[in-house]
Amino acid sequence: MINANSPTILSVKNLTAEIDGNPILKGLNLEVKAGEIHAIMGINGSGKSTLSKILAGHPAYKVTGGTVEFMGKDLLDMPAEDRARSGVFLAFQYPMAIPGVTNLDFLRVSYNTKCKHEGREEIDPFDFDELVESKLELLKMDPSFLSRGVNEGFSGGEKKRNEILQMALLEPKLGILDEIDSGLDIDALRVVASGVNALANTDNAMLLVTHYQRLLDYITPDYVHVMADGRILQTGDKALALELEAKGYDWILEGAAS
Amino acid sequence: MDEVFTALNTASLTDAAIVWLPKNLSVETPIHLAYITTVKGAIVQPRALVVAESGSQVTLVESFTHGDLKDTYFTNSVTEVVVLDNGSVNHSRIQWENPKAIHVGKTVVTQGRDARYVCNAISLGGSLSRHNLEVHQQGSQADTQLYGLSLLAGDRTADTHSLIVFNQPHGMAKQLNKCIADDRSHGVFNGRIYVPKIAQETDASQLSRNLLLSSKARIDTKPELEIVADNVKCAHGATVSQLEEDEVFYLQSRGIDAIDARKLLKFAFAVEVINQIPVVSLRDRLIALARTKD
Repeated sequence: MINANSPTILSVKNLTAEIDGNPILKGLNLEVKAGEIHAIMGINGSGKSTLSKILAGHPAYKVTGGTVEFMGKDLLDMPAEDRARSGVFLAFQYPMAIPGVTNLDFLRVSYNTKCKHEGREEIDPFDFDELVESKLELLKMDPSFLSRGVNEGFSGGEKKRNEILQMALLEPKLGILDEIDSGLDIDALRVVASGVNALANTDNAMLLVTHYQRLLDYITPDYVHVMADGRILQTGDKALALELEAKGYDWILEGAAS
Repeated sequence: MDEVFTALNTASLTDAAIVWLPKNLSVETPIHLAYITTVKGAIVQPRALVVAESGSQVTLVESFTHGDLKDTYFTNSVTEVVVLDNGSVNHSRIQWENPKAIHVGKTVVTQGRDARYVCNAISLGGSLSRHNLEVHQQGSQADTQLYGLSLLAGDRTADTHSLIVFNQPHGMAKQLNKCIADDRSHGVFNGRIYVPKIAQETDASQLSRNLLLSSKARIDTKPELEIVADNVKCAHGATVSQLEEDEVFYLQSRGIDAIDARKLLKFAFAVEVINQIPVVSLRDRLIALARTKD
């Protein structure tokens, strides 16, 4: 929901970045305020996944210029774990499997790092069990999920739901969802989308990175940005996504070139 | 070479620990053979014999520890395990010598028809250690499971040499050996499986997985399968890897700092073997150790 008076959550200015010497982001600007849902669309290689990884602090990417402020603080100055504790959450396109560590243990360790960061005490394991179970319902997940190794042998849909479960527990200020819809059938997509909708509120913001307009049938964005060659070429509302679906990306790329 | 150490052990034999299970006896409580060295410069040569008669069952724990001893010493152990027809022995072998100790251990297992033997060998200590594990399946349809884990750091060297010999048809074996090597440590695995002509319908798998944590650590791994029989299933594999940057990042992105993330990933690698140990108190202690180990 757009509200001009909302505080700014994320402010990206003229961001440039590279990996192994190859420039990927070439001057990206983005302003996200509390309560807003932004969708970033674009063809493969446009830099949208890179943007989400850079915001979360992936060490493989080198920022070469520009600034990123998160809630008024310099985000680029913080290691990945501090960004997470401060309220940046990245739902991975390809979540890692960690056999040997149960999902429940992983969630609790992660939750407690946030408690510690906020100066709260670590949660009692029994209270945590209750908290997790309430979140499981939101995502229609079976409690047996918790005793399995993190993402070990999970189907594509289970992995994505597990990412949203983590987001539900950590209650971030900025949720970055990197292709949370890829590989999902329509039923799984509905569950994931309703989870995201339930978590979005007037105090936080969501950044959806996606290839497909289909996701936006279930999560209504306030802004749709089209990325190409490391920049945002065009910004519009939901109608832009529908236009992209109908006409493809070429007209925007041509428009930018001319 | 290891025969020399076995002969040395035999030559100095004055007494031995003997566990003998009569026919069809199932012992619920685990039996623990604890070898504790407390004397500086000692040469300790323990000997054990475990016989599980037909239909009997036991959970055995052997531990090699050092009390408060900080100085060097030498352990040269030999354990013989005989599992007769349809018997079952689950054997956990915990080598937790002090960092200066030298440890040579031999475990020789003979299995009868339908006999089951499981070994969970954990190597935690010693400057130089070696475990020679030999299994001879003398009866058909015997089932062997060998799990091994070495946690190495500093200048330690740990060496596991195993041999599984199938002498009858329908034998089964599963082997998983894991090693984590940090600093300048050196892990060695040599796993030989021999399937002669008589051992048709053998079903064997062997996997050696290794994690290198430093550029100076070293792993040598050598699966060695010798298959003469023509109707068998034998799988083997060996991997050597490092902690993936993407895995560490995934944990960091959930608020876990890089040091704890690496610890957790190391723990996850190790715990698969520790989880095989059926004695809860021992398993919990090892899990706690693996969780906090740097």
